[in-house]
Amino acid sequence: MENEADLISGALAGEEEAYRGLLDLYKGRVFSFVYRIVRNYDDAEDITFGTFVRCFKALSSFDPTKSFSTWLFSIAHNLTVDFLRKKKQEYELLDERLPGGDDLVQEYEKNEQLGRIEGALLKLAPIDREIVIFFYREEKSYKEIGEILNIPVTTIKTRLHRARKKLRDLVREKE
Amino acid sequence: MRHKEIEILIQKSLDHETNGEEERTLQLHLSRCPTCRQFYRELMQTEQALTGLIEFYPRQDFDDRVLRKLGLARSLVWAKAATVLAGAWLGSVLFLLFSPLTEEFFGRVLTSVPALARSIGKIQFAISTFSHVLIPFAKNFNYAFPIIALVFTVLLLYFFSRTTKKEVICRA
Ligand SMILES: [Zn+2]
Repeated sequence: MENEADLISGALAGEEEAYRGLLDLYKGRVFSFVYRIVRNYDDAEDITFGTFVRCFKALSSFDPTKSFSTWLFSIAHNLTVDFLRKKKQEYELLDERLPGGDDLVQEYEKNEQLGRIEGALLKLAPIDREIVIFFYREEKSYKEIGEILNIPVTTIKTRLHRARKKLRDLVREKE
Repeated sequence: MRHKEIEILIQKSLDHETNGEEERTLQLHLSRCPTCRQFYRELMQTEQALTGLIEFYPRQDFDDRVLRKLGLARSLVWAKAATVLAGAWLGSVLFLLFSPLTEEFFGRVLTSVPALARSIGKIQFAISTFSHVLIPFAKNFNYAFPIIALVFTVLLLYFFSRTTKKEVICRA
């Protein structure tokens, strides 16, 4: 079983290998996304765990004509926002109180180029980080990002344009 | 065109939303204006860095924990155990059937380990009693037995996989 549609129908038929296949395909992507927003390994793992449990439980309600990853990421997004709210962390603004980076990122900061961009991402508000990751890492369209975040496409566009410039400034600063 | 308008065009280009005409205008301006060219190049470098971001992973037991939470893991353990057991049985039947070791060798092993010889004797007794009840024409052990065992192994494997699969469906 290699392709996503087969894996989904396999999972719906109760095949454990299909569940494992879906986890293989997506756990890294979902975890990386959540981790880059919450910046804590354990919290990111908890949220990713909750995302897959919720996704698999509701799998029968998934509309196969739609994108599975968009659906999965919207669950991850909702749980991440719930988490930030519970922790009283800002979502649409950059919270300067939060310390930047932790061991995982510091590890990658040894690689200069990667470290620079990870550090710059940290200086964006969580919502902008989400938009940037969905656009560049997940190669989602504006429309899909709008579906996941439940905000208008025009807002996403404005925010992405601003985020691009800010990232460029931050990366330049560090050079 | 002013730089500000070009900046809008650059963003539009990075959104993959420019048409041919706009792209030509942009490239023409970039070829003439070092300031905008520099800005464009830096945005492109940022984009490249973003697409090159590394993937992070949760801990190794993550998949098992998710499946356990969904109530799938227990039946998974049974499915695995059934496969291992049936595989071991199949392996030993095949080994006995096509063993390169002589009967003499087995005889020596059995005499050197009395406990093993005793239990083998009991198993042989059980098999012969069982086979006398089940297959009246089989008076002594013969080569048909491993073949019957092989057929039963395959059937067992098949039904085991069926039942464990069903269990998974119920739990999901
Ligand atoms: Zn210019």
